[in-house]
Amino acid sequence: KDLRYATGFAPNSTGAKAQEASAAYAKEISKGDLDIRVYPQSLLSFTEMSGGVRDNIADMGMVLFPYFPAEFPNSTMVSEMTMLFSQHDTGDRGGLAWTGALIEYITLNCPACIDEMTAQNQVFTSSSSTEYMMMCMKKVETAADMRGVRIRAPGAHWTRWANSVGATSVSVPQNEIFEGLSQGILDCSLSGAAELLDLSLVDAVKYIIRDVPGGGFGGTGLMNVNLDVWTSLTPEQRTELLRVGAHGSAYGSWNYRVNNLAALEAAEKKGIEIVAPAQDFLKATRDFTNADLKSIAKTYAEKYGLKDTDQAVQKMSELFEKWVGLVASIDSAEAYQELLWNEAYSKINVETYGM
Amino acid sequence: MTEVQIGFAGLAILLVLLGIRIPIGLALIGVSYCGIWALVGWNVAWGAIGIIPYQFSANWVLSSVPMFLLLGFVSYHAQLTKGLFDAAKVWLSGLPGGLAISAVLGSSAFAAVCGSSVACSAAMGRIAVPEMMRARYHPELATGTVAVAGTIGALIPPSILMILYGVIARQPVPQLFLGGLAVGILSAIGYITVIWIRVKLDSALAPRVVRHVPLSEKMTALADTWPILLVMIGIFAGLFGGVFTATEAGAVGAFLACVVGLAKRTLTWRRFKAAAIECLLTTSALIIIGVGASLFTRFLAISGVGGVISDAVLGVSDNQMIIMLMIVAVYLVLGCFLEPIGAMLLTLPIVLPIVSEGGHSLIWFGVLLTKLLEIGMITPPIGMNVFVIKGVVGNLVSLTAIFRGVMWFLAMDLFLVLIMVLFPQLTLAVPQYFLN
Amino acid sequence: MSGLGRFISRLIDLFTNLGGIFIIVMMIHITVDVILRYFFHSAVEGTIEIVSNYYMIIIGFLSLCFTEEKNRNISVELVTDMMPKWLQRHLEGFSYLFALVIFGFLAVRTFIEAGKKQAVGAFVTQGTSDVIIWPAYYIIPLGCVLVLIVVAYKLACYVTGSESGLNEKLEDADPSAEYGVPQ
Ligand code: NA
Ligand code: NA
Repeated sequence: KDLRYATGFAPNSTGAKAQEASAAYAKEISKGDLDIRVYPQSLLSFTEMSGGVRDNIADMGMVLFPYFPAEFPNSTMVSEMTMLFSQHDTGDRGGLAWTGALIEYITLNCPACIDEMTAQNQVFTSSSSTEYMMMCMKKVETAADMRGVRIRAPGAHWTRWANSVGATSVSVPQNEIFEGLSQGILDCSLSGAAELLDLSLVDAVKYIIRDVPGGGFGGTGLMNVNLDVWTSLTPEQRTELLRVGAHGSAYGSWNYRVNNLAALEAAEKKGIEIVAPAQDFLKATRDFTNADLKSIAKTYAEKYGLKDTDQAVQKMSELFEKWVGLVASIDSAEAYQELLWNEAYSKINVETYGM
Repeated sequence: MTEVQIGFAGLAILLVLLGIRIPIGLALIGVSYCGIWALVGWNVAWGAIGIIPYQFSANWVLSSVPMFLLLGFVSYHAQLTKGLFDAAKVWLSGLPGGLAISAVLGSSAFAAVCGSSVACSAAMGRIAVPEMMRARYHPELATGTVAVAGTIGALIPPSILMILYGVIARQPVPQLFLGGLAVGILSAIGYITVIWIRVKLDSALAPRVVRHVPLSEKMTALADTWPILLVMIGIFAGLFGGVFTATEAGAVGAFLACVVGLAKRTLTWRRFKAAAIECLLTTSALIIIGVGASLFTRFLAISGVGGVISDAVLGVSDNQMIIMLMIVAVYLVLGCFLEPIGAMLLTLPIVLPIVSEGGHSLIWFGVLLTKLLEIGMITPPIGMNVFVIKGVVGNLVSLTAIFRGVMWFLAMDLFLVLIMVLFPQLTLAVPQYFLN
Repeated sequence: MSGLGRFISRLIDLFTNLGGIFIIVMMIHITVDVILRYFFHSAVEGTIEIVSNYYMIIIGFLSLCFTEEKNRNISVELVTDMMPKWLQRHLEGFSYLFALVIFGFLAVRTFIEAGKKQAVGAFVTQGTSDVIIWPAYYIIPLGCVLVLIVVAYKLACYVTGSESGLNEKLEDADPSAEYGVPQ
């Protein structure tokens, strides 16, 4: 079975390479039956992805839910909860814990999420996530330092946090972050550490602030499969595809973790100062997060008419806490993939899932 | 038919449609639709034409194109540029092809505030072409010069192409920019040389104003350049002072031009309306081609044609110099048909490993690639810069004539590419100097 | 038929002026955003999304009919220039037919897409603001239908061999603004 997989990541980026590896893995476990061809940026961009998978321009694609909040309101809502990272001191393992929690949440605990995927003619199979950090041109140590700072905050939750500490949220497209920082339009940008190298931010940034505000990109459908394609597969093929999903989730998140650490090391070598925030700043951020979780549930219920949002936020919080414990001692991508499989994927019923 | 055969058939049919004068955007859309249908089915083609027109156009970075166009049109209609060319005439009239030379110099200066070569040729085309035509320059020289000089816009920083390359190849963008600066300046010198030689050989191409100009008049003419200089300084200061991004620079620049025009009392409502309407005309025409090119890129991606072309060429030899020249040849061919971003996205995954394994500098290659893709902007049958100039001159000059005007400069570009391949140090010297 | 042609020209002018207004609005909107950000550390929320989703779509598609009316679509004359006049005329007729098919497809398909976006109430979030974007999706089919009117009319004129009455000339901005036409 030939399958086209589209990602909006550039060729050779951390994200695209991980998917190439998963394609090779698919060939191996299916003994050549599943032939996945990866199209990095050349078939669909991120803004075209959901429609492109829906209409089968790609058989599978990397759908970022917050890009389509009207289409995926339930999945977008939980994606705003990633500031939980700093609540649990996840350090460099926040992305690993989030990936596991989100997969378990959507596939096994959120029928509304599956319904909204079905309505867009697609099936969720995997995810990946990584920590975001504040990268700044000026030193930010206390909450007072944030006053008047112009920051790129690529998510509603971070924007609310920025406003709460008196910073100004500035919208700059991803490919202009570099010049935004180096020319002084931005004082800070919230980006993944891998982007230090992927977007050459390492040549502009002067300070990296740890743990504040915390969080990561939390709404990735790493390999959403077109529903007609999914239905046409045999249960065995679907199981194989889920294994590929587990592989992609595991290696994607794990490689991000490894690359993040390497990027931070490169940053330190370049003379970028890694700043630890003052205790009061950390505490203010945690207080904000606690309050924000409640307001997320309220907003999505009132503004977008979602049901049982309090329970949803509660469930996701519990799952995340559970996964923080599960990933704490994981020491390889293989072990992580095994964990994802045992805790979540093995409980999916491939006869009925997503259909 | 195999997928690749369908891809090549699509290319052939496209050429036929273009030959019988089907508008380029429509030909691209039609071929892509049928091609995707043949490759993967009707529903996929039907899906693609529903998604891509909107997503291609609803793009923030692309929004700088109409704004830079507006900047150019307003500057022209409000006669802000008149002083510049009067000054250029006075100062450079002694030179053969003085106006064409100042068009190249103007493009080079404008390139420093403009990220794409299309926008650069649009703005300078509106300013410089009418002035040259009025001075009875040969239309081919007048239009060809500006179409070619526009390519400097993507070489001298900022450059959208180099930013994209930097992202894909994981190379530091500032170093690419510095390399681009060197090649951009070399290109400008090359183009001026071509103009010089052509006019020396045939002085009828660019009639010379033979009259002695006293220094006082020269200084007065220089003083009259303040309106456009003010706009340019405003854009520079804003960009480097952290006031706005390169994307926003178009809108703010256009706004500045309006303010200066109003202050000078040369911007009337009628003239502004003319500028806005020309901006609309050109943007619409470019967007429908952009949608077509975007669809065509998907069609080629699914068919795998790009890979086959590269593989075939690279299979020829294991000599590094020959491989490099082959890569150059591939991009020159692809550049004839594809828009640069599409060509880059299709080929880099295959080409980058070959280049880095060959021990070449990826900074050098990024600059070389930008130069090659920019050459594609002026080669027939699909040369966006030439189309933009065509949009500017309307029915006064035929597309064929503009392409003919470009050919002379093309020879110089190919020579420069050869020099870049033979002496990588030429490109790398500037980044390395600033690095230490 | 030229009365109908003049009517179509006036219809096009209406939408073109609308497009022109949005060019001004776009310029001012971005400039105000820049000024607010630099001098007052605040911003017009949603600027990027409004510019991309509304202004760009309006500027790109609403005046496509204008481009068509003025024959400003970019094509390659290289080969046809060497053909006899009668053949050129028939090829022109064929290109109208071609355009009719392509824009017909685009109009239907983008209208369906707009319906899907309306059904979910598509919006994007920038900062903490939601920008409703589904209405913008209807601009593309509207633009395509306007082009279809022009193209269908031109095709009818080609078939019947009558004068079009469309205003194909670009009005002079200003007699004193020299366009550099060599006399
Ligand atoms: Na430039
Ligand atoms: Na070309």
